[in-house]
Amino acid sequence: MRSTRGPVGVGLTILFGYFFIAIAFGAGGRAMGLPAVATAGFSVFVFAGASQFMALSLLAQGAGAIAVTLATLVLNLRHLVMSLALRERIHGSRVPRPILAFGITDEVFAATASQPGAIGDTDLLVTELLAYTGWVGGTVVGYLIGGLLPPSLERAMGIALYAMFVALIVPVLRRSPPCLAPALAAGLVNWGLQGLGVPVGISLLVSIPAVAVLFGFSPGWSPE
Amino acid sequence: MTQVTLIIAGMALVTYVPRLVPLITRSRRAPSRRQMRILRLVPVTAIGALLIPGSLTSVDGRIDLSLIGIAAAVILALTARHPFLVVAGSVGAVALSLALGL
Repeated sequence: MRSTRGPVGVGLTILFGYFFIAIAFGAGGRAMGLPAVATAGFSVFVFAGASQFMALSLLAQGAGAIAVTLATLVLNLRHLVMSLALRERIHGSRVPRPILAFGITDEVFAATASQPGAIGDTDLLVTELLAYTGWVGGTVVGYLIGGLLPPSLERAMGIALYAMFVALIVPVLRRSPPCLAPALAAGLVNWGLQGLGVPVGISLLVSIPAVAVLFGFSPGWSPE
Repeated sequence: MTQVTLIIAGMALVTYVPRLVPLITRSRRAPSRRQMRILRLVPVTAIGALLIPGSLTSVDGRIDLSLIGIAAAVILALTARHPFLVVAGSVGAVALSLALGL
């Protein structure tokens, strides 16, 4: 197995994963009675999967614009940590940073930042554009075919997001098996915090950098 | 419609700003080796925290079905290589379990 993939390979991984998940989002928007333009608008302008699903469920519960926006802010603040982790590693000056910033989703970040070495700005843009294509395309397809899918398939799509994370982390663990420890530790800390009643957005924002710092300072741990 | 437009605009803003700010600001000096080591750990801890515990309740909130999907994804990621197969196979395994009445 190749230990690294080019930007197209990485982007296609995310494109396929996003496509499935976005179908569920598009079908969900239709089932809620949202217009097609609004459903697609979420994916075109927000481009953040988990918060879009959250917005649908909050809308269904009758939440207002301010409540949905604040909940999204809390959930998506974790991207601050991800952009910060990418900043020193992006090289090149062909793509304006504000354009690159729009596409830094969890999956784009995890897939590109887990590769060894520097990240070319055009490579990152290719990955982001493929991911965006999968997300917006899947949303539109989901809206169009919403209600036509067999119910078992529609329910099963909830796993797609996590299958994609598995597909992203397994090659990393093959290259660097000791990384299993920080990955598991971050998951357990996140689980514990949520168990204590910490909202999921804050829990992610805390557990991701805290465990990275812990292992970064641990003299007994090495990624090799 | 106005309500939804407002929500999309608000969500777009609060999602974009945290992604943008670190990329258009500069640190005063180059990061130390330890800082680089920590920054390189972030994707690993991010995937771990995104997988646990969210993945365990991803199919109708049911742990058994979710674990079937995760197990299928791990096996396929170790063997099939192509990421599309990992995602499609995992969704397929869960859909099959549901269709079989689990």
